[in-house]
Amino acid sequence: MTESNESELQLLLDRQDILDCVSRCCRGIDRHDAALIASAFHPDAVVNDGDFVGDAPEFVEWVNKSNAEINLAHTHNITCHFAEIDGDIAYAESYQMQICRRNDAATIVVTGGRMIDRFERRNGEWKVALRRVISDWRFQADGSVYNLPDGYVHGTWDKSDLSYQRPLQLPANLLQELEAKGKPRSD
Amino acid sequence: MPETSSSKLQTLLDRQAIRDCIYRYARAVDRHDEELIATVFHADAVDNHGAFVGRVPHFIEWVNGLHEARCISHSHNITCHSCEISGGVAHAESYICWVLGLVDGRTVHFGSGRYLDRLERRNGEWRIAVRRVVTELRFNTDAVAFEASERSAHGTWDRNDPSYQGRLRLPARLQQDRMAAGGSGSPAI
Repeated sequence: MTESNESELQLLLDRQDILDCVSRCCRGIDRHDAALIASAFHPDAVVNDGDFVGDAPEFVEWVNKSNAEINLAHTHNITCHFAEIDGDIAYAESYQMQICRRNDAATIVVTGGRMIDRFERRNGEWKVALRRVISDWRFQADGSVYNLPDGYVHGTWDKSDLSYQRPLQLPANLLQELEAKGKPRSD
Repeated sequence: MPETSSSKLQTLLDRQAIRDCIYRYARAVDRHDEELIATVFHADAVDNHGAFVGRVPHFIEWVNGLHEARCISHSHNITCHSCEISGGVAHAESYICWVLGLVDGRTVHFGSGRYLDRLERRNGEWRIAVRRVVTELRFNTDAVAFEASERSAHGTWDRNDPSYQGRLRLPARLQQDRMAAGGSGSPAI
């Protein structure tokens, strides 16, 4: 690989690491996984999210607590993502649609905004050093349709969430159902 | 063992192939493209969507049937995606926002959840071996009717959809309109 190829490869790796870090934070928040959220930030990082301003450990505690107080479920969805890298510093903008099911089990609040991050690479690892969250729009909707049984597995706020299962596999009852349909068994 | 440039490059290629597979699923169901849906899964794959569990042929029939019965339009939007690769097996989590324009013409149904996939690389190709769908929330809201004019691009549930047009071109009529308005008339556009 030529030197220019190497630097192009490194750019792609850096972009992927930065996006993975943003995604990891969203996943951590949605699973209330404190360690996962913390892993997205440098220990001395500062976060400003709405009225909140504090360091990373304070943010982790605040975000889980405030979500638990007002919501039954939430998803933090990243859409457009950009990052400009200059040596060991990067500035990223990640569009976000935060969708929350309030604890009245009826109100859905959708907030569109952007996370503006200053990333720093320390010891080869890209993490957030400073984050400011901007809210651009918000709407409300009626989410009571979710109270009807939909037959789906629902997310949880702990390690029993299906996303942690390794390897991912069908449970016994569904495998039985598959067999009953007369097809050869797998898994 | 320290990673070589070659293995780092392979990881990036694998990550892209896996993302492409999952995006292709969204595109395939949104176009009701049976052949394309099949390319996302291994032949012996299993899919669990709520009360549905089945192998690929049953899944294709079920998902297209459901969308045809309930919707006049839909889009499946992948948002956050994370993936762990270990040898020839990958576990991916892809956030999904599915938006359905319902047949009543008055309601849009919006759901948010996650596709949990175990993918396997067989003969160099990453495809889904097991998929389970988790839901977090749903809501209904009022559809706003929009009149798609003759000039608008229309989405369709078949290969007439503009996304299949290899070298994307303006339709002749719109090209004529541009030229009449003093446009460059470049045939490549």
